[in-house]
Amino acid sequence: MILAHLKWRKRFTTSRVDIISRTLAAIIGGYLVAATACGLLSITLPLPTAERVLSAMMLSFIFYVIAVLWSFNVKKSEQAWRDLLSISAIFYMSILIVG
Amino acid sequence: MKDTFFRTMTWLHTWVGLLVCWVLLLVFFAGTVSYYRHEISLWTQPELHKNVFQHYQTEKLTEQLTKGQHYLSTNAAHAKDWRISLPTERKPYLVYAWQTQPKPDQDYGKFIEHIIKIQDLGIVTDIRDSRGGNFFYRLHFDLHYLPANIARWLVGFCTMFMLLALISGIVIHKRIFKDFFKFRRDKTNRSWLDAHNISSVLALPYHLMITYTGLITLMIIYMPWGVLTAYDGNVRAFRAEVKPRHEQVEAAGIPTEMIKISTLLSQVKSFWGESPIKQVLITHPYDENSRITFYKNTQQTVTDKRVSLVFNGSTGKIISKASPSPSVIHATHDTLMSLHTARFSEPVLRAFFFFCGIMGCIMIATGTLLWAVKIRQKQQINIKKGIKESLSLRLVERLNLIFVAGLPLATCCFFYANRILPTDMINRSQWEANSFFIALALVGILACINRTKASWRLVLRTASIGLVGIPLLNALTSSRHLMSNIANQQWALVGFDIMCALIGGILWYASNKLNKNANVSTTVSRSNQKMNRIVVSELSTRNT
Repeated sequence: MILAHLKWRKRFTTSRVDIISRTLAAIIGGYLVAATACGLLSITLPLPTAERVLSAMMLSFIFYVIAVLWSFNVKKSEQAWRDLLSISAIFYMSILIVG
Repeated sequence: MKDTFFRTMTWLHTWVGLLVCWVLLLVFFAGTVSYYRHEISLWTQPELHKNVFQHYQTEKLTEQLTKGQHYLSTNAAHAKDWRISLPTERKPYLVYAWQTQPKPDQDYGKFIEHIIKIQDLGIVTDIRDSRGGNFFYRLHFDLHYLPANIARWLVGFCTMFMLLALISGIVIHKRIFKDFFKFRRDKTNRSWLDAHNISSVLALPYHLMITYTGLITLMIIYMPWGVLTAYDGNVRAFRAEVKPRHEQVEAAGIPTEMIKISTLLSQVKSFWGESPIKQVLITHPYDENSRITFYKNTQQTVTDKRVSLVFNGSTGKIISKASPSPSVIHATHDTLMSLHTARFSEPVLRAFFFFCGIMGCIMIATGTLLWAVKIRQKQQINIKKGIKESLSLRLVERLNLIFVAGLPLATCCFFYANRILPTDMINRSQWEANSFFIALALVGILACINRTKASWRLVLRTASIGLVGIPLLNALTSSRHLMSNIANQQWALVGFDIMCALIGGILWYASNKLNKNANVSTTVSRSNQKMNRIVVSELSTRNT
């Protein structure tokens, strides 16, 4: 029982926790960035409404890719979370202000 | 994460690629096959092979439309709409179809399709229940046995992984041009890597395009947030604006006589000249507000825009001449969509797309095989000591056998089931689909028992024999065979037979390669053993 417990602890070394955290940041944080960017672009691009939305949706995946690469590239996973969440918060605030 | 950007990308490429590669392989494979979706559908309905296929003939139009109108008004006078689809390059037969009045809670009624014979314009009644090419088409984004929305999210998730794998792959492939033509044969590890590189680099623009446009085709599901902010979440309003259809008139409820459709042909000709018509759609037949819409066959244009002419069904007066020309963004979106579906492409380009799709499958397959080979080498010393391989290695090797070798076999089973299952079977089309997955499951069982070279060979050779036998199967179970199809210039059917036999041959060649060459999973190549020996001896000399 104790052994199993130790083994379990051993499995969750800092690097593993770091990777899991980054992955979650990439998937969830990245999606938040892409979604808020999509929402923001849909109301700010200087185009007719339907085209704004279309181009925003088409561009949002590029935001997602950049966000994922970003979250694996910063020094610490906390930083990844912080950056992505704050960027999407800024986008979201702008949506509220503009819309 | 790692100390350099380069190493982070290498790490990302490995894991992003490996984690979802089997689903990706299934999706990529199904997508590649569905480039020939209509041709497969033709092959899987042998009842159509005789007396049905025809070319588009302008001089026959009047007769086809008149008989069609008569047929539909006797069989479906109260339908919501009628459709007369004329023969096209890829669907070379005449169809009279209609949509029944939808029930109050439904948007659409039931679609009923009758395929028409050439000579007497009678209907073909005994068509077998088969999904044909549409099975692969749906498999491509709806998978199977899963609710559509869950499956689409899953596929989208994997597609995102693929996009990341591609981009990180480009970053880590430093010598992208130098390696372009380099292929070192017979060197296990290096050969797998080279095959991976060649298949990725040669078709790289295609891979990037197909992955990105794949996300675009379903973006309304994945990224609906623009609609939320700009349209307050009203998806219908957004769709209506993106794809402005001709004003949807409601039925007036006042019954009126209809004009003869064929009398409109001269007007259509004055607008379009000799360009072929694809379909005639008649909405609300015998109503005061009935509309007759002619759709032009726009196979050669890249965008998906439908070119149409609309007439009033009771007076024959023209209502609209052309749909408004699309804006730049619309055109971009349309182009991206049709790049993915390749609807526009003529045979050569379609074959090129198919080839690129195969390259994509090879890229994914070699990627995961490479991982397995490398990890096995790492664990080689332990394995020799009798320690079991790690769980992840065993899992990956099993999944590789199931998906890499199993997919061609499963496809082959699907075609055999299509021809062998009795035509009056209940749920027949579902059982065809089941046979595909039963084959995969059987390979799965084999993979759990034995995943050595011998299993690979067995699976590949079974698939190979099956595929080579396809022309024979076709000859035995349909009214035509390869030679008579060539004589009748049924190139879709001929192409199907030859393609299957060819792929079967390639699989046989591959299985032979497994014999001589260093292998996929079990033993490690001699050069590597030598390497290890050198390393060990060096270490021992250093110690002494």
